[in-house]
Amino acid sequence: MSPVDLRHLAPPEPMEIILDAAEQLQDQQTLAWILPHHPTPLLPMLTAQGIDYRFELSGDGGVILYISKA
Amino acid sequence: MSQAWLSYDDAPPFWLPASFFGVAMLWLLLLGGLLLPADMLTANRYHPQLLALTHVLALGVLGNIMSGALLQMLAVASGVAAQRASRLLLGIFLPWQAGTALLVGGFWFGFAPLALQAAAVLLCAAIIRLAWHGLYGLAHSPARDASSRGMALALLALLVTALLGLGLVLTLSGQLPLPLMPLLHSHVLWAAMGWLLLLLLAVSQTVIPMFLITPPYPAWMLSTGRAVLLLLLACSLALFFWPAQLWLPASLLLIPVVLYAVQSWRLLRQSRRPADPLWRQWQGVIACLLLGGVSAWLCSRWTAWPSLPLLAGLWWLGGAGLGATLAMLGKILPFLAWLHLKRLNPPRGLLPSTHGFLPESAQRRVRLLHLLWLLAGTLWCWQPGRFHGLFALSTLALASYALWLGGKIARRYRAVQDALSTAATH
Repeated sequence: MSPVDLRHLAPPEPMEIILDAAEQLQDQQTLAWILPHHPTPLLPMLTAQGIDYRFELSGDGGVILYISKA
Repeated sequence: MSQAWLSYDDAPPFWLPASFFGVAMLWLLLLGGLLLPADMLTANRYHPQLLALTHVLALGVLGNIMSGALLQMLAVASGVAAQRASRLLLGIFLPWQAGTALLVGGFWFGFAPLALQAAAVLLCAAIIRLAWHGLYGLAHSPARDASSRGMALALLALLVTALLGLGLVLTLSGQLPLPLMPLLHSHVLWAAMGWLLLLLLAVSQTVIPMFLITPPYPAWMLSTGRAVLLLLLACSLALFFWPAQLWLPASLLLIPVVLYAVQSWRLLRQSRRPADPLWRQWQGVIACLLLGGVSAWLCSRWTAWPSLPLLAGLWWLGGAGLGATLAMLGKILPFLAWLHLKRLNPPRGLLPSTHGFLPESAQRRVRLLHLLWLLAGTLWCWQPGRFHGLFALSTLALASYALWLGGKIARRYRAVQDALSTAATH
């Protein structure tokens, strides 16, 4: 699975895309996106939806956000 | 700072900033309404009607948008929570509107002393409450980023502006024996170069990199803000005690304006979203800052053309100030509406995207109307007697369109809220 790069989008479009995808997430499914920075405001919203998340550095200044069902 | 630091947990209720933003558009409508019967035939910066119109724009329109945005930014970017939002509405919003109305009426009806004194008291109370909320909150906040420090500097400048305004009113009504012109010039400088420019510097350090996807502003921009404050102090001291030396700090004040303009332009060129309406809007803000700054600097040297001070004020307040605040509103208001509704966990498909609240085409039309307004205003500054009708109509058009857009956002917001309430009761 290759992460989708959302770094060209202005806020809150990345947030809208990720929250929308989180609502449709299936069990055992993992989704990933490249973001320009650590998305602090998004994390409580993911937690409220029962979503687990983790991060990796993209290597070119961004972070990769992985989400899956808790 | 980057948006990674933003936290929406402390955000004030939607109605708090929305009240400031909504009433600002009503003040803009009033500006157009007052321009229609205005009978200033030639450019005169001290004409009572011009002072009234300037304060409608500075306090009614810009002051309200800046205060609403500041309360939001303080909470989200600096962790200064707007607890007891209704008290802030009572302590800031209401005296601000009443004070502005009395001040404008006081000027319009020929420096009515009672109205001006009551206005000064109410506005000082509102500004002290706002400054206390912001400065006390920032002193106790762990945030030490450029935006938070910049907002503290802007609030200090606002406080000095208000005290100088109070001194002016008391001097005008014969209660204080202070020299009028040094007070007046200091008041204008602290308002325009302190409160407005410093807040612009502070807010753009968060908003421009975030919405236009640019690299951050360099760290030395914060030192620029501090330098502005010191130069303003030097200007005021020179105005009161060494007027012959004023040229030096006043000329130096142009440097931070040029630095900010150059740096912002460099960032715009590196933006990953050059098609965003905000990009062109910010280009206009930069141009107006330079035009307004240079015109204001020329005012003290070239007094033969009475339209020049009016043009400097129009380009600074109306071009840079109103341009920046309208651009920010276009981004912030739909985002706030979306964010507050999102936190209510609406079912899938019910909540429109931020572009559903305000499409980019609407922001482009706001920019075009603002540009036409600025053009009409420039003609009005040149020949007020001839072009006041055109300026009034363009103001009414801009205000009506902005109010219509605000109403549209409010209707969409209420529709989602109502649908949520209906879903909860079934």
